[in-house]
Amino acid sequence: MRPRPDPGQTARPMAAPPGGTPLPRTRLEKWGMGFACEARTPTLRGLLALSTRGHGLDFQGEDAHFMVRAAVAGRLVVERVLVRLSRSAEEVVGHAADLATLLWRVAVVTFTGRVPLREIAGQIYWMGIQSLPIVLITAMLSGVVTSQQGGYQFSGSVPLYVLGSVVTESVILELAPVLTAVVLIGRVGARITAEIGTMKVSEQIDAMNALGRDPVQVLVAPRVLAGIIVVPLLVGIADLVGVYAGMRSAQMTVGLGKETFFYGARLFWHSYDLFYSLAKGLAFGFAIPVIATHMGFRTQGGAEGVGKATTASVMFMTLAVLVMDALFPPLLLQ
Amino acid sequence: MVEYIDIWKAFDVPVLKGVDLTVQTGETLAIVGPSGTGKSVLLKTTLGLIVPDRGDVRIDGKSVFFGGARELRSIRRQVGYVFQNAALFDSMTVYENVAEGLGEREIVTLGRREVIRRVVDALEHVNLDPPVVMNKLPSELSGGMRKRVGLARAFVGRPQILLYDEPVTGLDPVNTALVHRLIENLDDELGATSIVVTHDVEGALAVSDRVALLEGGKLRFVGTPDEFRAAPDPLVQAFLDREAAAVAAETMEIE
Repeated sequence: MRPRPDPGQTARPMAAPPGGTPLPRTRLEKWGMGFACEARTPTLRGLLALSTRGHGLDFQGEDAHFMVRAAVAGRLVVERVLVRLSRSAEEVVGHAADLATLLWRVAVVTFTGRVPLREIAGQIYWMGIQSLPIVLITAMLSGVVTSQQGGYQFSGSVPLYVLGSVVTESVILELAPVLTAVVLIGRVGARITAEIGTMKVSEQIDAMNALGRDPVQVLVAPRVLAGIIVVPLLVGIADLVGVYAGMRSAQMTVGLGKETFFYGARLFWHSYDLFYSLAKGLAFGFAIPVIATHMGFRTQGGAEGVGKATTASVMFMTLAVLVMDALFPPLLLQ
Repeated sequence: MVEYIDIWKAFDVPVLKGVDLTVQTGETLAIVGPSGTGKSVLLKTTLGLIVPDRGDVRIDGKSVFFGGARELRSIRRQVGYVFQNAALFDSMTVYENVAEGLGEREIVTLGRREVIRRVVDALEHVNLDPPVVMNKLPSELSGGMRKRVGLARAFVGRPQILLYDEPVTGLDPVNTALVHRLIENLDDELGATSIVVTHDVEGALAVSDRVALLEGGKLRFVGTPDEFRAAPDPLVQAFLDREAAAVAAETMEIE
């Protein structure tokens, strides 16, 4: 950012406003009079015109004092907005550049076969096997709820076998991939960010670098690869469990038989739907660890910084999953 | 030889403002100065852990920032770094942490028995009982013990250059003296070049060949310990006096 001019050196004394006393020096400095000491520049004249528009004020007249203040205040507001915008832009560009570098380095270590298999296996166990119970419960409940609500809506108006199609398509196309991703954001993504963030603030990442170990190779690539392998599998399992739970629920609540349920399911079934569901799993399985590790590496400060980074990470991962979910139909279902 | 060439670094405010410093091979240089004056930042630039806004660091003529990733890795392999808060890997045992200091290739080349021997040797050097601590996690150790494990990790690979970031902060007087002796011994045994960032001026004067006083992001003084003590610079004297005052206060507390 351009350094602010030192008012003591650059501000020239302003002429006293007509009929008034000169503005005190301290006030001039406070208003940033380094630039507003003489309203002769086109910018300041423009700002003056802007700030006095509609007031019928004349810069050369008796209200010059007020107008200079108005102009300065206006200029400061504009400056503040511009500074905030530029900081936000810097932040976005910084995120994008870091993310691009991270992805490039993950690609390099992956395609040169330098990712430790033991680390990948450990991550698969932790992300996949240990996440299975919560994923199964979520999938089961999503199938049950869809089935019960569909049964309630269709009873007496629509042939009940349609319920089989509604439950199957809802679970496979939408609920299983998205709810699995949301569960993994909380269980896996948040922990990755907190873990790497803590390593960052306690200088463990620096220590790794100092010891000649590449943190991307040890910490990032195994998690990303494990995510790509595990999340589609979890989504596939969630698909099966969700549909089965929906079928059993339909049987118990509206008395819909298994054969009738699957008759309805087959009516609108395309095997492409399963591919679509797994493709979503693959995309989410890539996005979650990438965002989580990226946010971990950007952690600053102590425990508070780790907390902030984890919260921001969960927010970005959720947003990314929902945006990708919205992009999938136009890209793959048209 | 380690050369810092016109190092500038600013975070929100300028921290380093054009530091030029050369540390000769085999020399021990202590960098002292008030908190927040950029000592640790300067040390971290040595291994490219912090990238300066301007300037370069050269180690034996090799550029840290303009030499490429391969050159940086080779530089890092010949340097041992003692972190201010030890920076031990939480998920690894003491044994694994110290063995990391040998480097991936060395661990494979040396074989398990030799790796254990070296780790045990390093732990004994820092006054830790290997059978007691080897299988513990860092969370099970006291702050002082963690610090000494960090020291063992830094020199177990017998590096040519050792960088110490506040090596005695948080240590009791016995272990402080031990670390000072260790720094001197390592210099003699390995012929290592050492850079010690510290607040402990007396310790710095005892172990170093030269002392640099960093103040406000600039080098205020560079000279031998005797020159440092005799320097007419009021800031150097104030710094020495402040230390003397701190020592006196500490003595009074103990009594």
